[in-house]
Amino acid sequence: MPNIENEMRFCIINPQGGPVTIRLEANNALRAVGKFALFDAGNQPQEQWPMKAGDTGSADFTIQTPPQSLKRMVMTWAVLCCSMLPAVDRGIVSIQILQDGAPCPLTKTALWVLTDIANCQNSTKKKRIRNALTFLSE
Amino acid sequence: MFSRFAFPKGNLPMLVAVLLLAPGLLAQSREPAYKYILDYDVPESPALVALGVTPAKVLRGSAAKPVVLNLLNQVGFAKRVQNGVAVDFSPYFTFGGRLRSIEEYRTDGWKRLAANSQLSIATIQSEEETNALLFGLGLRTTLFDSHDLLQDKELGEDIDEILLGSIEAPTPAETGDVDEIEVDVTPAYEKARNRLLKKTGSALAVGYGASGRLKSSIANTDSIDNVKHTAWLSFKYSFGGGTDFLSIYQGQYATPSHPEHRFGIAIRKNGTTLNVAGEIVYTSRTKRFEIGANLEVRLLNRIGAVVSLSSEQPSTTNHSLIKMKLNTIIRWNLSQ
Repeated sequence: MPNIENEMRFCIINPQGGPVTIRLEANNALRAVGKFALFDAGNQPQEQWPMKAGDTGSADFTIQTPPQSLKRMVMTWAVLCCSMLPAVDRGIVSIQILQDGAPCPLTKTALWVLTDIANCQNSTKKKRIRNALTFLSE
Repeated sequence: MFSRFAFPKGNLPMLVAVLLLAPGLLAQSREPAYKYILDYDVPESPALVALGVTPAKVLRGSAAKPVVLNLLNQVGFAKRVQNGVAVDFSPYFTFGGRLRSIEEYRTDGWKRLAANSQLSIATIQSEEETNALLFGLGLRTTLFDSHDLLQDKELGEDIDEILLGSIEAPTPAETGDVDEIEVDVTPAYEKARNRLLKKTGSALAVGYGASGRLKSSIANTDSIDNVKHTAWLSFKYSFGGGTDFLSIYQGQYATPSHPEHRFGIAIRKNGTTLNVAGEIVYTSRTKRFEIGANLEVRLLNRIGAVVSLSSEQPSTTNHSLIKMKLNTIIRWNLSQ
């Protein structure tokens, strides 16, 4: 049974357009990494990849699955973050879907305003975001 | 020059308590050893520098910590015990300053300077008058620090690898949560500190402070007198292996026509449980050298103590008597 969150977040892509790129961003010098996976209609993982926002706070990954095959596929992610700056405990983590250099419309934004983010060094607690979206064609 | 020494008695019980308790507390601690060094490297409070009551006269050039509380207890020969408190904080982050990324911290010199600036406010009881309060305001900026952890690219990469190893992409049925999980990245910091311990490098900091006396402890402009301005430049060179060379120029401008200049050098040895330093300072007003030693120990998580013994200005009545001053500071790193 599909998770209700997946039903609420859809990403509209052009099946005839260029490859789809996933962008992970984290501001306020947060340290953010993610593991992503693409599931088919039978809930079987077709593609998996890691991403690290790194020192620049931003990372891109181009999905190998062609856009015409993405319809109804579900992309899930688990993003983990902490703060490297002791005085910073909040920030924004976002995931954008890009095609041909432009962001794809999302029915629900993939952006999280996080607070009480623990310092990487001084606490073992790390914020985790687990969520998903479903690709639809125009 | 050192024909006789006189020592204060009033602070000895506190000193003995710190020295006896510290090893026991440290033995019980399960924190990795490198963390003591990270906790230690907290620069002196700029406001206490303006008041002239820091445990060490030769100051560090290290990067600022966001919020630190200092509790001072000082006693000089045949004088009242002075108690004081200083709060140091990083104004940039406290008043809403932000950084886009670690990369911005490394490449934007102005933001890095702002992030490494420390503002502090301190008060201490007057030695001469029982109902007067001395206050100090200070600002300090680290111009550069080659041991700044945020400049260590390898640290960030090691943290990323540990974080990535702790998660898996969820199935569609598992999504929909923002929660917290336990992931320990201290091995990355331990590797970083070990790299820094072996690395030679330097740090430079500049500071300015103003101090004054509030007569009868009344806070209005009419009751403020004895205003002094202090500026300083402090430099640290790390030889690697935990040994630092420190040097300082400090100028005090109580009266423009008769400024007082101080030049000092020190050697500090950083250990896993203790930091020990010895210093010698030349003061232009008395044309004499002053000597001192200080010991810094981590008592508990985020809390450290600094104990120092230093020579004071010679007595005006007995120039052969070198008076010694004992300082203890309890330092609480609130930013961790």
